[in-house]
Amino acid sequence: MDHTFLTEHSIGILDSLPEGVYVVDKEFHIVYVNAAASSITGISRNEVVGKICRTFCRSERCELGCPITEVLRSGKNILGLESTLQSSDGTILPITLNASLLKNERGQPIGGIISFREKSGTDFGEYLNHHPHFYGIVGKSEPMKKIYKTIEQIAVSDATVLITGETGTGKELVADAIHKTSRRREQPFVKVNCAALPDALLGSELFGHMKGAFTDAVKDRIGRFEIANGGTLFLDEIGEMSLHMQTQLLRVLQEGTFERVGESVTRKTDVRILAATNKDLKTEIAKNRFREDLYYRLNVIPLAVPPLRERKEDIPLLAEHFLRKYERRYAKQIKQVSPQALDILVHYNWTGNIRELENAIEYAFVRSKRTDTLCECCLPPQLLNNQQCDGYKSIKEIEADHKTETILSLLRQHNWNKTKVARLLGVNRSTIHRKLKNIDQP
Amino acid sequence: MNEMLGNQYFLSRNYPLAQTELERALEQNPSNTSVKKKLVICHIQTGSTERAVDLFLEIITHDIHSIIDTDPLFDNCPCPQLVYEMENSLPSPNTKEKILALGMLWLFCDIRQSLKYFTSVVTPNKKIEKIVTQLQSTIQQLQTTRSE
Repeated sequence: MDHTFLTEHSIGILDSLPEGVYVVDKEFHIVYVNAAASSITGISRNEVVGKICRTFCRSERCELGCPITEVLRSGKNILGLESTLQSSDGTILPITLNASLLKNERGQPIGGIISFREKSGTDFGEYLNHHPHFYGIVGKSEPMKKIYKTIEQIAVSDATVLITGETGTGKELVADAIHKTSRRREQPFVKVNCAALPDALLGSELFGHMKGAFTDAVKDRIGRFEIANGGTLFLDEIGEMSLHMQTQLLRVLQEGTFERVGESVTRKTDVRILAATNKDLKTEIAKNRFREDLYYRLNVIPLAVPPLRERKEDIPLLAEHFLRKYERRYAKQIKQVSPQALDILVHYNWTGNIRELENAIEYAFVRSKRTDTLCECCLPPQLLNNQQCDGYKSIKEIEADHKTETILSLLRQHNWNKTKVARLLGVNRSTIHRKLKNIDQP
Repeated sequence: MNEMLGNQYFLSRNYPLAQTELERALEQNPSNTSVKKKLVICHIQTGSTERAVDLFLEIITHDIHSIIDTDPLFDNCPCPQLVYEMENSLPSPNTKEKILALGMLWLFCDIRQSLKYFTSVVTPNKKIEKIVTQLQSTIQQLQTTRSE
């Protein structure tokens, strides 16, 4: 244990605290973890001391903004920030934390200290009701919460995941979150876009090649399977892969072995595969364009990312998120999206999904001369001439619909016992009655 | 504040912001080798190769082992990944900048590969000649130590 920061006496005090405490040096290496922190997370002190803080924190804050970095930026300590940690068995624990800096006698930061406690009586599901982020993914809609929970449940597994969804829905972010919450998080996360390369080059990209294997092979080259060894390989647009390459991939999945192009030596690899596609692979199988056996190998854990039009309640959050992103990029501030612009965004059909929404916000951001609001007049013309209106419900109505759906679903599950459902939702029985007044009951 | 904030940006691979903070930290403490090491990588990533070469030369002149002894895991060093991406980027010409960048990055992983790149520069200037001499003498020292 590094004693530069802490004396034996202070270590004794910190070990007796019921709060978890960990200390990092200025390079963000962990120098101390107290007994309570080890007990809460199930991660022993010896496992993490000397390693980069992420090996212990395993928090969505590592993506959203490290609390110690926030203290460095603002010069103010952080108190009572709600966040998560991941325990050794993969469970995501809601916590509240405090963060501050350790400084030398000249007032220069030489490290940071975080104390935290578990939020009693709050599980990850409840945490998600109040926090619209998950490891870089933005959204609090029910379909997204289901995805977050699945990712948490598979954190200790090495199973192959097939992520499906339309283009621009954020499949890569989902893959990223799966890797970051997995046991392989400290190992490489390697991405390959299967549609970006012709067959011959994809083989070389995945498996590597030997000098002279083909005309342009002027030197030996290792492939992505070797680079990703011990970690995760994300195969994006797997539906575009040729049948020939599918056969080779199937062999790696079945046997964990492959050969570099132009070499007869068989190499072993330990890689977890995440694959993504915007195609319906069952249709591709029916058309003999995708191998059925490979499909079942990949589809061990299926994750379907919903299109943006099916999670419209997330549009205000996403718009806000992109507004802040472009504030940093263009060094200009726009406080909020105007209610009129938000209404237009919410009612657009978004065939290009989140990528299209991001482009629209960037377009409007660049055009806007105002600093108080992003006005609807700055939005791209195709949004202003939107012909694909969904009946013009306000965002409040959309949210209300979603809440009513939840109430109905719970009532069905609990035999229409309104008292029980009211207790589950933490509302009065009269609220349930009021909600039911305006809808047709079965 | 600058060094620690720069370290965090470096960890999150935000090289332009890391560069700004670490340059400020270097102004406050010009002999900070740990900051210089990270700045070499930042400048390579932001395209200011000349500045990277200057800092690289300073480090290897005074303490080459601070680079050679880098532990990729402990130091969370991005070089193996960067080298892989640069060497395997599909047909991209081997410009002088790319050769110099690879030469510098390889020293964090393998001194001989680093030397191979620096000696392949077609028109070496004085700085590059100094780097080559320094690398050759260090390889010799390492061989002597090993044989002893």
